[in-house]
This record gives sequence, structure tokens and C-alpha cells, in this order.
Amino acid sequence: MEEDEDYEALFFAECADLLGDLQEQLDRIADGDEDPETINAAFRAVHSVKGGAAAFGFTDLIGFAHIFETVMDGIRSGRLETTPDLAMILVRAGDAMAHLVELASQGGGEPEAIVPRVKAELEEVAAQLGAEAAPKPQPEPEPAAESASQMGEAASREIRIRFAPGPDFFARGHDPLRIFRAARELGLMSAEVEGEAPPLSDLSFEACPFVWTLTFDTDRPDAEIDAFFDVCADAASIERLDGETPTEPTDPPTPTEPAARKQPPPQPAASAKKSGSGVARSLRVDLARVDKLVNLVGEIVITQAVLAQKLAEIDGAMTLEAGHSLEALNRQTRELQESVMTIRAQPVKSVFSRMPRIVRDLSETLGKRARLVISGENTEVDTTVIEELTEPLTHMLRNSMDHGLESAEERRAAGKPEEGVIHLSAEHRGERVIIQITDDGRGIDRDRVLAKAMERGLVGPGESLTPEEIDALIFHPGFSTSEKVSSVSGRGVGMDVVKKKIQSLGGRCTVRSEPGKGTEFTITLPLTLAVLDGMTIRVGSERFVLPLSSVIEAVRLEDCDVREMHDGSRMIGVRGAYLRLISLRKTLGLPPADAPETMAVVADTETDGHVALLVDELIGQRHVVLKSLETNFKRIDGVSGATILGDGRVALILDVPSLASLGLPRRTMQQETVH
Amino acid sequence: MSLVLAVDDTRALRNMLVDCLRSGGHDVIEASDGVEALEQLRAHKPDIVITDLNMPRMNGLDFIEAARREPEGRGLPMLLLTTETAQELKDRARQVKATGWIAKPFDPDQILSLVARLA
Repeated sequence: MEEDEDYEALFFAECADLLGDLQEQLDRIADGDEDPETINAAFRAVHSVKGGAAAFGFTDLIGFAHIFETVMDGIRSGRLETTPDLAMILVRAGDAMAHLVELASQGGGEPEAIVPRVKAELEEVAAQLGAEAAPKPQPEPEPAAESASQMGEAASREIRIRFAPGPDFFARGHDPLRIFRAARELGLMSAEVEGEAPPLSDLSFEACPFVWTLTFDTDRPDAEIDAFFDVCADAASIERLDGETPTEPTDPPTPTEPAARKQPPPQPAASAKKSGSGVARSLRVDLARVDKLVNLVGEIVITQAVLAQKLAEIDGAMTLEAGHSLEALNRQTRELQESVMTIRAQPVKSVFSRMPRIVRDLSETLGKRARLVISGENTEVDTTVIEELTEPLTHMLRNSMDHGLESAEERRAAGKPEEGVIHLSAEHRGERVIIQITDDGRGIDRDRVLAKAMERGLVGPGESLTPEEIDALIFHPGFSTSEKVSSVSGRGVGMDVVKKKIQSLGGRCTVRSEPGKGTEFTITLPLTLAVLDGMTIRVGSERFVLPLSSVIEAVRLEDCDVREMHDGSRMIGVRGAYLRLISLRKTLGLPPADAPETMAVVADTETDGHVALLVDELIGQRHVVLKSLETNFKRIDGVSGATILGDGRVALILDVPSLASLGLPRRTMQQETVH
Repeated sequence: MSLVLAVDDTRALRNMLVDCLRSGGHDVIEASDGVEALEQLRAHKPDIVITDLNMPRMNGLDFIEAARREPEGRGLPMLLLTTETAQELKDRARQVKATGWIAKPFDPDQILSLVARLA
């Protein structure tokens, strides 16, 4: 088995590195280093040696590494204290394991006396961890995995199985179709759905509502049939209907490991990188050069779309080969674009790391106690965005400190801990980056905001606003609720400046607040500034592009319940929920149609649930290059930019959240029309 | 045939897995920890993921949990390859919506037949 020897050679080469690292870490532990990362790294080294040993069947090494690992796990989970004695045992264990690896690489042999001695020492330590950690023999390879040939054949017969997927069947990555297809090899003859299939509109993406009866005509042994369904036994209920014993979810054999207790804390990327061949190689490049690259990639995307379109227009030009090549070009362009974007990506850490200081300084100035909790600082964002984020983030933190958090007395009176907590977090969600600032303060004082807005004439007398609308007023230009102009946030820069800044980056900014509980600001930014996946739609004679990340599904109006409301707006029933139906024609000011729209695209507004957009036709899905309108024209609500389609036409790229708020009839107008 | 993402920090074991998958006619992309695996997932949209549990930077469970939040990870079969089979681990695996687990050392036939059933 030449191949196996290759793996073994590689394994021994890796072992050399692992053992070297291990020795280093054990030495450090012996010197009193209690850094969890050191202990974790040592644990992982032992674990990796054990994994390899198990794969190649080095029995002595497996047994030793196992007990060694058990002890290391006891240390990393804090159940064993690293006394100097224990540290010395560990160092000896490292040497013993190195010796066993060497023996294994030489093809076996009797281990030296140090091995059983150290092993006994380890076992003694492990005994303190309780019986569960006692070494057990390594299990045979999983019996369920035995191939059919080893299992022999059984008499040909009919087997019926009831197959009922659990509630998270799809969510856990199962697909009944794939399973049934594979089951054909076992002699699956039919899969019948029990009862009536629910209507399409009731289907969800998470749960599978069907229950099947599977009928096999097979000569395979029962065990093999049972083993086949092991893979989903955990996410579905599987029952034999033909009188045989029902299939219990069979688990892999006896655990050989102590339980995976507390997972170690996530390791900082930097310290984990140190193993391996050394210095990270990097290159400093002028940003302008990268930008040029980004632009070029954008142009290529357009050219590729044009090429595809032209080929499609010429009769007979789109041969199978041409199609394949085009497909490959499409994929490569996408990869090129993604690679270029990663060059521009940087962790938000550089901005986030400045924030604790701001909070510290402010808590002194304001006399409020506050703690900043940061998470997701390794989330990567486009460089341009990073540079521009500092100012709005600083301002929002100031706002939270000044307006959000109460004074210590107030907090005490409200039964809260005196120290306020502000969370600053970043994460990727689909094609977006979400940054949130959440405080546990008093929430937005809506009465005061409303009074102020009326005083400033932002809200007319008699207008009734929802709490959310009142909260959103703080983003209104020139709005500042601070009674006295404080040195902290009332310096003429309002939250409107924050919002404008974020908008100029192609993002948006929203606020959610609960009186007495706190306020949450959410900044949503696009991951890439240049290219996006879009769905091209037609409304009248115009083409528009909807970002694919906001599209949920498309429905035909005739399949849905559309209801007219008193105020003339319309709602559409999709999967049991009623969504606001927005006429793109009306909202975008297009000429009235000859025929009413027949389709609606359900889209996500991110903050306000889903809405349905009326369209005439779905044209297709494509990669589009976003060209800013603002540089050449001006900002238009509901539109985030423009792009050039394959046929050379210019299409506007729609922005669902701002479109949805445009489509919202203003309360004042409503009242006017009613009167 | 499927595109499989194989994640393991030990190169020898990863190579064994990769060769096993290739021998079954699958295309394979690799990652050596959860962080890399997330990048691969986003960049290549694999049909199925097989991941080791104990890895530096981001372990297999955390990776699956994070991957389920990505559009590419929704409904994706993701298997944990592990020597540990304790109940607690299984509960965690269920919780992060892992598709299932494979006991190490793995049997190549079993891996291939699992991939055939799931992807």
C-alpha cells in the first residue's frame, strides 16, 4: 500500500512539528505559564497525534496519547490544577510520546521503560477526574460502516419504512430527495407521501411537512437497511412498518473520549498562527492601484454580460461548448472579483479598538459608570468603509453615553446595576456587514423627542406617529434633544450626520428602543461596494435590478389573496402572512400600465419585515456592477445606483428598505385624503 | 459528483480524506481550520462539508454554527468527523444543526456512501 506509506510519511513529518510545539508548550507550562492558549495548543497537539495514530493503527501510541489527552483536557477545563509535580509529569509524557512516535515510524518495537512508568503516572492523575476518564480500548471501526459485501445477502423480501422528518430536517442539511435517490441502490421501489400534500404556499425552508412510506424490494440484510438511515436517524423518525424491530437511532460505538466538555474559548487568530513555517508574507500596495483593479473587474463583469447577450442573439452561436466556456468565464470573473475584494477587506478591529478609550474618557466627563463590550472585531469590511466608520461610531457611542445611559442614581432607582453596559458588535450577515451599538439605558424619551420635533416644526400638530416613527426622528437634520448643549453630544452634530455618512457608504442606519430597557443602533453596510448579485425585473418598459440578498421569493398574484385596505393600499397574503403590496410603477413614477401586474417579488426590508413589490416580469439573475448615481447625478430615494445590462441598457438598482418607506403613505397625507 | 469541503488541521488526515473523496469522483476543496473553512464556503459554495472537531482558531462546531448563518450554509449537509462521541458533543452538534457525525478513524466506504446519501 504505497499510498498509505505516503500518508504515514506525512503524518510523521507533521508529528515532528507537533511534538516540537508540544515540548515548547509543556516547558512553558512547567515554568508556570497558565495562559489558556498554551494549554489549548498542547491539548491540540496531543489530540492530533492521537487522531493520526488511530488512523494508522499504532496501538501503543493510541493508548498513550489517549490518557495523555484526558489529562490535558482535565487541565484545560480547569478540573485539574497544574501543580509543579503535574507539570513535570506532562514534560515526561511529552518525551514518552515522542519516543512512541519514533518507534512507530521505525515500524514498531518494544517501548522503553519510561513509557509504562509515565503512563501509570498519567493514569493516576486521570483517576482524579473520575471513572469516565479511565482508558478504554480503542473501538473497532464502526460496524454500521461495513460494506454490503461483508454483510452478505438475505432473502428477497418487502420492507416498509415510515420516514417522518423532524422539525429541523432541512435546517440540518438533509434532503429527502437525495436520500431516496441513494436508497434506490438498496432496492427502494416507491416513496409514498402519507395523506394530502400541503399546498405549496404552506411549505417552509426549515421543516419538511411530508411523511413518507418507503417500500423496498430488497435482498439486503436488515442491518444494512437500518445503517442506511443512520445518517438521518437523528433528524427524522424512522419506523419499520412490516413488523420487524423498529430502527433505533444507532449511535457510533462506545465513546473512547471523555466528553467534549466546555469548548475552549475561541483563540485569537494571531497567536494561533505561530505554528507553521513562520513569517506571514505580505505586501504593501497603494490603495489607488487596488481601486484600479476593482474598476477593471467591474468592467469585465459588464463585458462578460454583453458577450453572453450577443452570443444568445446570434443563431447557433451558443453551442454547448460556448455555453460551458461562458459559464467558466462567469465563475472565474466572480472569483476574481471576490479575490480583489478580499484584498480591500480589513478587520473592523482597527476602529473598534479606539472605542474603549472614548467610553472611558466619557464616563469620567459625564460621571457615569459604563463598560464597553466588544464582539466580532475580526469581521472584515472594505478598507474605505473602515476609514469612514470612526467618526459615526464615535458619535453614536457619545450619544449612547450621553442620552442613553442614566446616571448612577437613576439606574439604582430603576433597579439596574450602577454600571451601564454598551455592546459594540460586528458580524457578516449574507452580503452585508451589521454593526450594532446597544446600551442598557433608559431608551429614547419619546415624549421629549416628539415635543422637540413639534417645536421645530418637524411634525405638524395633530399628526399621530408610531413609536418607531418617533424614534426615527432623531435622525432628522438639526435634531438634538440634549436640554443644554453639553460638551459631549450637543455640539451641533446630530444623528443626521451619522446617517448621512453611513448612507454615503451605501449603508443605512436604524434605531430600535424600548423605554427603560435601552436603545439599539444598527448600521448595515454592503460587503462590497462595487459588484452585487441582482435579480433583473421588468416594470412597464423599464428594467430594474433588485439585490438578490433582499429577494425572498417571487409569487404569482393569481395564487395569492390580495386585499384592498380602507386607505387604498393593498395587502397580499403569502404563506399565511399579510405583506404590504407596493406598486413600483406608482412609487417610481412610471407611466400607468396597459395591463395590471401579474407578479410580486417578496423582499426583505431588513428592519421592517417583508414587503411585496409588484412587477411585470422576472428577467433573470445576474452579477451587476454598481455605479454610483451620486457622483454624476444626485441621490434618489429608493435607488442605490445604476448598472449597465448585457444589452447595453442602463438599469437602476433598487434599494428595498428605502423603497418600502417611500411606498408608505405618510400619515398626514392619509388624513388629508380622508377629510 | 459533488463539491466537498474537507476541513482538518492535521495535513496527513486531511490528505487521506481528500484522496478518499477524490477516489469517489468528487471535487474537493480544503481548509485547515474553521476560519478558512468559512472563507472557502463563501467562495466556492460546496455541496457538502466534512469537518474535524478540534482545530485552532475556530473548531468544527463553531464553524458549523457560523456556517448555518451564511446563505451558502443554509440547508447544507455538514458532517463532523470526530473521535469523541459523548452525548454532550452530540447535543451540541444537534444544537448547531450539524447534519451528523462520523467516528474517527473513518472508513472510506462509509464516507463515500454518506456523501452519496447527503449531497
